[in-house]
Amino acid sequence: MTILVAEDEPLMLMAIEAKLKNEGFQVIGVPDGQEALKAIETAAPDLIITDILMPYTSGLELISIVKSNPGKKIPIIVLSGLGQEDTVMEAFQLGADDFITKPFNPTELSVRVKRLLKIPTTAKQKK
Amino acid sequence: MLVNKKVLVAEDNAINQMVVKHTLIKLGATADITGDGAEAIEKFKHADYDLVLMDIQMPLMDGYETTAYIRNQLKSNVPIIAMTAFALNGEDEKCFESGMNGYVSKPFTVDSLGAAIEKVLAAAPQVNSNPYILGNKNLTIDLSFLYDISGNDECYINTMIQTFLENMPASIKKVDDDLEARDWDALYKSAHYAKSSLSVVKINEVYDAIIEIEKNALHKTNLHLLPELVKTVKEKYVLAEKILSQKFGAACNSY
Repeated sequence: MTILVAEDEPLMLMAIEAKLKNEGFQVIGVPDGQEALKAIETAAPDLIITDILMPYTSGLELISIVKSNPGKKIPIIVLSGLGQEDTVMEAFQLGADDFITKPFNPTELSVRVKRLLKIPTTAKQKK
Repeated sequence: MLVNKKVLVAEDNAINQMVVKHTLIKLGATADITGDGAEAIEKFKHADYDLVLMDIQMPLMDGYETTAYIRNQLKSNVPIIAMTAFALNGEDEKCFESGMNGYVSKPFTVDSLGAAIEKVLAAAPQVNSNPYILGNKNLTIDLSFLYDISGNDECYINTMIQTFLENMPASIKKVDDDLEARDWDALYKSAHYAKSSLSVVKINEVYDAIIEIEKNALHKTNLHLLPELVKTVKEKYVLAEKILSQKFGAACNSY
């Protein structure tokens, strides 16, 4: 399965990619919303993880565009940080499926991804 | 407190060797004397020592290089005390930065050496007992997140830290510039960005300061605290950079 990750800070992007690859996913990492939209067309990801604050097309715009497309039903997880509680609410209103705060708990990320992709997890940790 | 302790000495001067040995015997220790850094490392690999006394100025491999090797290549937390003539400014700082635990200035007496040793051995257990945490009493670098997400892949960790070290100076400069310009919205964004990097390679003191900067820039509160916070970020980062580039300096094969 392929996951698209849109995150403008390179280290955070590397970190998320590393974790997801270790979980066995194909990962496409992009640094902004514009690249994300292109990748959605070419790679047809099964899930999108997106930051909110990004240059060019923001995370919220990305969610809005993806969710208003009747054809694609791609689950979206929003990455949020401090001071972004309002924007998380907005993200949900636009159709986001889940959110995770940065810095993220690696296990939590894995569990939330698998939940949205309906992949059974070994429930050894509850958080 | 040195009774029956095994001490390794690296000292190139024959007379000083005799003085150190004599002093250590008086303190009850057994001493292995070596004449340079390379010899000391060889001896260190083949025996367990409770303490290392390290001359700074030695030919070929000096005290800093030898200490760095013991810390980074041999991954040892053995207490190391520098024996220094303090010829240069900032030598004491350099001792701590390279991983030494203390120093004694030459010429020393039985009392002054004993006091320096007591101080080092009595110090709180090094944070280095956790392999994921680097640093000293002024600085904590927490790499546990990095190890977690990379699945303990040392090579990948190396690559990520190189990326961190390449990008951080520009991120910090942006924070500094935005503060100078008193552009609070821009400062929020640049602090937010820096915070992302710092949550992966977590320099606790810098991370805490950046969170405060981000929060206050967002709400435009406590603006008078910002210059001091940015100063902390800059100064602590410089120290962390030294430690990280020493430990993760070598290029990695697979990437």
